[in-house]
Amino acid sequence: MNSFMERFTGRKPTPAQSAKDRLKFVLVTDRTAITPEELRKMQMEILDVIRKYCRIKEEAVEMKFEQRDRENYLVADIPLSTARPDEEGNLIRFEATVTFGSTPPADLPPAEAQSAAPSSTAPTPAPATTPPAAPASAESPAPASESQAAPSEAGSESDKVQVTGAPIGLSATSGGEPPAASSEKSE
Amino acid sequence: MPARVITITSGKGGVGKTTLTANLGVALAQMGKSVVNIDADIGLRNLDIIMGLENRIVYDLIDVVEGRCKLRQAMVKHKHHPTLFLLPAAQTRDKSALSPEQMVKVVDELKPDYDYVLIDSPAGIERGFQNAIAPADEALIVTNPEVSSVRDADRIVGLIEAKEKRIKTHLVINRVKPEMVKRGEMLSADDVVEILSIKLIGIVPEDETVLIAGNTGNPGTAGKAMLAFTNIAKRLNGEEVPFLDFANEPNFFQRLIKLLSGSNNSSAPSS
Repeated sequence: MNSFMERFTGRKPTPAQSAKDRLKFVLVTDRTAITPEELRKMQMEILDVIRKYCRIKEEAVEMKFEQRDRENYLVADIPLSTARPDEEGNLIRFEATVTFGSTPPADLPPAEAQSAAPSSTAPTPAPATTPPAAPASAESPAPASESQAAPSEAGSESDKVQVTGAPIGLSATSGGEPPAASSEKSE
Repeated sequence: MPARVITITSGKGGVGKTTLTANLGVALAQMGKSVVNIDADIGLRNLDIIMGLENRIVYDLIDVVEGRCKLRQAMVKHKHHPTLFLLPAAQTRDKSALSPEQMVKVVDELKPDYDYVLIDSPAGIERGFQNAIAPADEALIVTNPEVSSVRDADRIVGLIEAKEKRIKTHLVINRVKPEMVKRGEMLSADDVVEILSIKLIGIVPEDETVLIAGNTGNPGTAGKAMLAFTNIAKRLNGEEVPFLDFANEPNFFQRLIKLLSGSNNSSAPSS
């Protein structure tokens, strides 16, 4: 019964799919000479840096290597979560996703940013003004009041997360929209 | 025009380099090209036996390189295909008997007089491979649709890209079993191409007649596989040949219906 359901829902990978996934994984190490252990350490260190500037949804962090043609990329999806008070002192959740790659974002196709899980929760309650008390460099969404109906309108430009000192370029999206003109570090 | 020098390599052993070299040589010769097949597997030679020429060897590549004979004396003409030649490897020496520079020199001497020089590389990434790849303009990377050979093929492609950037690489996926691919048990050609990301030039199905051809020393007589080898030869020549779809051949009942309805009842692949 179990395996019937698995086949029906397509959850269990076929041998060919296993082979493909395992190969892709192992080839990353083969090609870049980064061991899985080193990759884990690198992930921890990268997250430490990000944590200095914004709050992270730890359980939803995803980092992996990707291959496009014969180039290899490190791709990370790091959902941020920042609870900040509005004028009335209510906590508003601002959610954005940071996506970055190991090449300058000029090369990063918009599809990469869109692959980030769209985190388009409408803030509740809608803030009257944009609260300034944000973590060091993150800017808050401007017209977030409209975002209940149309999350995709929750300010594109002002959603940029700028992290100074980051060795790689960053682009940020909110609600799954591709970045407008990325961060200052990008080009 | 000087010969195109193509090294057939894989990293992994046993994936079908020698078979491909032998049969590709035949296919090109059948198209009217003049071909020299060079066995670069010093110490473990097999191109001679697969080509059915093991009894005709007098001199070998090492004899040439060490000056004991002229190049032409070591070349063996194929009994059935007069424009196909074999330059055999030595059997009682090893890879250290030959250097990449010497290999380049030998091939340079052949280039003006033939259309193709095919070099059968040994497995591995060491001296034997380096000897075989040194004179090449192009490389055929042979892999099977299974994890270890794809992994090794990736390494080889990486090595070639890093060190011999001028070499054009093409992928040959060998020993495909379409039924297993259909059932999701074997990597598909698309899977392999996606992982390796080099240009595909041939998909060769698993074919028992290849074993038989090797046993009898008659390259070029294998069935479905030979069709695929011939297509590779055509593509090398610049022809656009669609890849055969072995997975969708008519089965017994479909063929029976075809027979009863009066259309041709040949059992050739449907593509």
